Amino acid sequence: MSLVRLEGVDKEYALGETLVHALRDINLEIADRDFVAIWGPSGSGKSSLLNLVGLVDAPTRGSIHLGDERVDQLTDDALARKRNRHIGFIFQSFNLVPVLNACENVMLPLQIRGTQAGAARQAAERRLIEVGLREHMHKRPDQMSGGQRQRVAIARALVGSPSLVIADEPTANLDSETSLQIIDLMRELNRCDGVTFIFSTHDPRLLDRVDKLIRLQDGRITGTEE
Amino acid sequence: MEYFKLGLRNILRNGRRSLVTALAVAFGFAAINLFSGYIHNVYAGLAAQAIHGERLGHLTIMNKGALKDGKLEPEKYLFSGADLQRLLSTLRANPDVALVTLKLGVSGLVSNGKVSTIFIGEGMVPEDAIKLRGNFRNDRGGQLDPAKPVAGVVASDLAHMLKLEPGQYGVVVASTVSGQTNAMDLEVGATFNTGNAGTNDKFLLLPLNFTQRLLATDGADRVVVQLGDGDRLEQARAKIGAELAAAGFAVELHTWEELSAFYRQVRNLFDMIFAFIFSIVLIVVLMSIINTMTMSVVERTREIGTLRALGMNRRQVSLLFTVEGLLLVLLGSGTGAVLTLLAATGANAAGFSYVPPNTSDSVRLLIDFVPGVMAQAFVLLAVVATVAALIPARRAARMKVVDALGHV
Repeated sequence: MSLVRLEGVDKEYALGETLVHALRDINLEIADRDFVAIWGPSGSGKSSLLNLVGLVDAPTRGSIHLGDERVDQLTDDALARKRNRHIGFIFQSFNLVPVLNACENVMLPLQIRGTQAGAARQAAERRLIEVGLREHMHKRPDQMSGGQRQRVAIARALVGSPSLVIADEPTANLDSETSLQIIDLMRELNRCDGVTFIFSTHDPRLLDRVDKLIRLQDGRITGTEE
Repeated sequence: MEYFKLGLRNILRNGRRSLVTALAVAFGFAAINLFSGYIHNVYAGLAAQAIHGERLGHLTIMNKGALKDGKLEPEKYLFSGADLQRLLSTLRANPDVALVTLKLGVSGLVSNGKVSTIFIGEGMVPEDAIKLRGNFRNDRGGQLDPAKPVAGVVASDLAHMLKLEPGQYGVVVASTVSGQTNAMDLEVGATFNTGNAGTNDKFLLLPLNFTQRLLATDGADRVVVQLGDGDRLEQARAKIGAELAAAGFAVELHTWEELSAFYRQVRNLFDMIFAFIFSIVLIVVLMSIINTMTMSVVERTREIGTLRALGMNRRQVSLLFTVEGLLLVLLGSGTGAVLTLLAATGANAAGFSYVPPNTSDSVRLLIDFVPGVMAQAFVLLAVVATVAALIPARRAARMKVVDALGHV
């Protein structure tokens, strides 16, 4: 059974007086435990697609299923709960909360869920150790390198034990060596934890590490490679 | 979620902006506290002036209709000697009552043998007048002497006008209750400042027996009651009123506040000024918090998007910013409380004095520290801050997640 299924999805938005077709007739299935890359040039619709899969945006037409539940028509509160319970996010600019240290950032999804601080802290520390940040738990984001910040973001994405992690250009702000390290870490976590990863990239060097490659151009899927 | 921790850190992160907002709250809060502390002291002073200085006591009992019509036909509203005996014994049996005494109003002419002028006066039992006055403004002097049955106390401007010194004699002339003219020699026992510019040139405090002889009556027109606990005034009034009605008296009971028009006028004026100042402070606090929180929301749009993506719902985002607004008021109010304490202590120690309107001598400028009023002001500010923070907070909560994430 597929973890994520998009059927006939279009996404349009207005840019001034112009209607932009960001995605057209997207039909896509992503299986449980997949490690998927979405590849395409700038403006091809990679971020729009990930926003829809991550339930932070709604399609103009079509349907989105998470497991066997249709999720594109849920209420805002229900979507927030779904994101918190089932989806982890890794952002291009890390998007860590600047006033919180690494551990507190990683605790956030659990605390939003209502987990007690002690339990959330234990889980966060475990994840930070997994991503190799044992010595950096109490550093604020501005005291860490780009690679370290992205590791914190990965720990934060995984701390709630989601079934799916969405990563929008996770290596775009990193040097090439760190980029490969981050993708390798994601791949390792995918294998160890069985979490499905979907990430967008325009770096061709990362593509030989994925199970599945989805090519996007002008808002359409132009090819899928297993 | 640890909203307070997150809120506090965000406040510290924007230290300068938070400081300016917290200081606006602090100065506003201190202004409210200082003014309310000042008028609290003024009200207490005026209350003491009415209850003890003017010897109104807590309650005054008169025959029904006396307050409205007694000035034109005072003889009609006098209590007879027999009625007074029954009244006094009924009142003295009430455990709330600490002191009961009689008053007899009188007006007429007072002369030094060469010139004369009008006076208004009151006859009181000297011992009771002393008890009723208590320790209030002993510096003003002016107590009746129980050992001198024909010695009265003369208001200082009146004594000055008639060139009468303590120990000298004047003559008082008044109409008896039956309408005949009567005159009696009066020794100037003491002079005193009434504290009121309107009465300091015409007031005489006389022994009750002297006044009764002048008016040719054994009665009195008022019975003054001092309570053991002035805070129980309304309960005591109801209870005493019921007891007197049950004993067959057709009387009316008035509190000192009802009889002191000056107190009510000053209180109304100061309450109005206080409301005006409070409104301005609330508006300043409201605008400061809205401005600060709006800037914070704009600057942290992407963070809001991130938190929403991580699963925070709209209510939680709204709460996050509301808590920040509330924390700003907490910080500001805490600083304001310290400012209040310092400024009030400084002002009280400086010993400033001034002459208020309609008053015949100067009074100290004193500021009370009133925790109850401070708590009320704080609660109101906190409510205003919450409302003020809710406006940008709701805006933050209603952002589309995808738009917030893409905000640059």
